[in-house]
Amino acid sequence: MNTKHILRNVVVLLAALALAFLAGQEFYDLQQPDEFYTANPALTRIAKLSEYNPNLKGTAGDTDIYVFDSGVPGGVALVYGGTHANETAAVMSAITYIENVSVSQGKLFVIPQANLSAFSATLPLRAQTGHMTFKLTDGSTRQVRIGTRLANPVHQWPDPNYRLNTSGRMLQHGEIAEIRNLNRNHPGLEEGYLVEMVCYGIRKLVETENVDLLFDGHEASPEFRAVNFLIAHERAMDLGSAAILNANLDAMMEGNMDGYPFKLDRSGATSWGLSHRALGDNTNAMATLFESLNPVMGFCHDKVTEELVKDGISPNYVKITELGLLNSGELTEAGSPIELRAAYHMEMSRHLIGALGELYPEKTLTISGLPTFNDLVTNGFEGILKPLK
Amino acid sequence: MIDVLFILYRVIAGLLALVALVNILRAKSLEKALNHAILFVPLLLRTLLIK
Repeated sequence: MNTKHILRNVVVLLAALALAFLAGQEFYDLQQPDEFYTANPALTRIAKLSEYNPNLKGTAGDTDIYVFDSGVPGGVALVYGGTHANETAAVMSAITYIENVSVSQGKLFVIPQANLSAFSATLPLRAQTGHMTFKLTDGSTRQVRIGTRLANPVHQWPDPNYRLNTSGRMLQHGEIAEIRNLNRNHPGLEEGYLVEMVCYGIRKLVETENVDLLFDGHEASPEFRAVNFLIAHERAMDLGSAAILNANLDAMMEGNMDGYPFKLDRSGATSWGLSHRALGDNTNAMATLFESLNPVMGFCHDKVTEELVKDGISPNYVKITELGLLNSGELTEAGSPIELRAAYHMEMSRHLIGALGELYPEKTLTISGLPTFNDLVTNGFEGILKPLK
Repeated sequence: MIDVLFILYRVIAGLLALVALVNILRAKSLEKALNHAILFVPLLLRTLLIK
């Protein structure tokens, strides 16, 4: 081999190393934890999920739990987002709770990133943005990661060829990657795959802390039947009905005479491994799950840029709606912004907590301090999020 | 068991990355060097558990 070839090959190698460095930097950034505002005086402590399943200690599944304990006996609720790390409104709703909520009776647990590992990667070949950034009114910025619906294979690998998981769901063939999906593996295993252990941690949290109400925030594609649905375990149906009724009455009091587009559905009998079914069946908590509409989740989504995630303006879905193929009411040129979607989550969870005390007075959980629907939609997260320093 | 598999995975990915690296340096044409370079990048990131 002559010198010219060697020189050329060295240049190719250096170019490959440069490419690996640039790509690796971005992937590495996604593995760094998000910074949250923790100066809310009502925050009692930040617990770790490994307190409920010690096998999670030191793993990528050991997520933070924000505890708001009034010290006054009452109801206990768990509100969490980030089961699927790309369902951003649920994450932002949980963050809004952490920064603003105050509890005067009962106890509230909030988990913003339930499947923490899933925040450290995006879906391959999708060219999806990995962060959303909000420029606050004081000029500072807040950044939150956007991940994917499955745990990162860097943290949980290999996927088995077949798994009959604790819920009774058979994972095989095309569904096998769901072994990394938090919402397919409840109630989980104390020692098993990482995501199964996270599920077990959540189950033990619910059992140990006598959680009465569980709210799991999600987002769905426009094609999904259950968009803006509250899905409730059969023991939570009364609670769900009361919450939706109260939410709509509240909306009307605030001048929104159309109310919210919330609907109620009962947890499917064969929704094996999903939180509303498996945690409802295996714990005493009244388990609920809410789905807002996010065009990013759809099969016909546009390029997944930060603007699409935040503004929810999808030319593809506007066209599809114009053709009369879909009619959610939210797929207009005005979009489905993250503030609107998160406000739906906030209203739904807030009214579920309110209904808990109405239907079961001994389980009253009194919360305050949360921004109203109009606050959130009008001011946006730029006006709601608090600066970190 | 899973931990052992993970170590094994990294060792195999690392060895393959090394082979790709040697092949880049020994390639007799630009096309072959680029082919091996395309393999080298993901293998390196896998070895480092970055992606």
